[in-house]
Amino acid sequence: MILKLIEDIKIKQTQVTIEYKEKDIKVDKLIDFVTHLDELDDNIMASCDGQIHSLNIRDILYIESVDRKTFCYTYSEVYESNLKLYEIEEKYQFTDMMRISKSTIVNLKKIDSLKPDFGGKILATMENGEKLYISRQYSPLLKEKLGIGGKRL
Amino acid sequence: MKIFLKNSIGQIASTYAVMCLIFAIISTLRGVTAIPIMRFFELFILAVIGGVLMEFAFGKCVFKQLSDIKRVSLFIAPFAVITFLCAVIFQWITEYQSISVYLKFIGIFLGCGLLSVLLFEIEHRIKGKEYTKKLKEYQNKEFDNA
Repeated sequence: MILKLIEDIKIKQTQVTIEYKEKDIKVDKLIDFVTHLDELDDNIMASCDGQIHSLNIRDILYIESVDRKTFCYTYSEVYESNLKLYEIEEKYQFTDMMRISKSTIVNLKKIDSLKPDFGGKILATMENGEKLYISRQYSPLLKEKLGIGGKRL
Repeated sequence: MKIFLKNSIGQIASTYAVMCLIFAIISTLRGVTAIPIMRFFELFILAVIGGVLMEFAFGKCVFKQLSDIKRVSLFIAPFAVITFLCAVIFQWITEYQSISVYLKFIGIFLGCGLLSVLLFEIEHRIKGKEYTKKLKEYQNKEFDNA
């Protein structure tokens, strides 16, 4: 996909033109993303030490569901969110947040390294040194997103 | 079934390659200078059984959700029995009365297992570098939509 950015002071309103040969899933996703761009909110409300904070999802390393509670992990703090994991997954599907197991969503921009592991899983080492497993179910999706070939069924 | 067979062929090929490599290493260490062609055929038969068993235990076609320990158990125990049967049928073991022969068999089996794990680890490290490279490419994309 080629991204062409044109800066022109004469243009009154930002416009997006999508040129495609064939309308496929990627094109549909792109249209969906642009259509819902205004609804996107980069912040997530979460509490820590009895105080409510507005967290930018860029600052979150990963989000985990433990005992029906949702926790957002940053470099220094752990915040609790009222949102369910599937709600966060749906809300931030067009961002770098990606579901990697039944109980975890990871920020792809905060992964330091990846290594395949036993049984089709992938071990992700986060920037803070924490290790998370990308389950067998989700590893093909990650490979697809990163453009790693050889999808094994 | 089609996917199972397709994956099994890959498993057989890698199992056979590892077996031949291990066999060549052991033979060299024992000072063997010539290996009978039939031995490679016998190893191939074991590799076919091992490859299918590997896909059965570790693949997603038969057991979609199974813990790693269960998968390993499902593979190791039957494969040890099959290897022993092959050793008897192909006369890799001839002295059934000697305990040292059985100990040697167990030692070689475990040694081969460890070597296989080591080879897989090397493969995972090489693939890991490729995955990390792709990840960095993704992270460095100018079109940042986070």
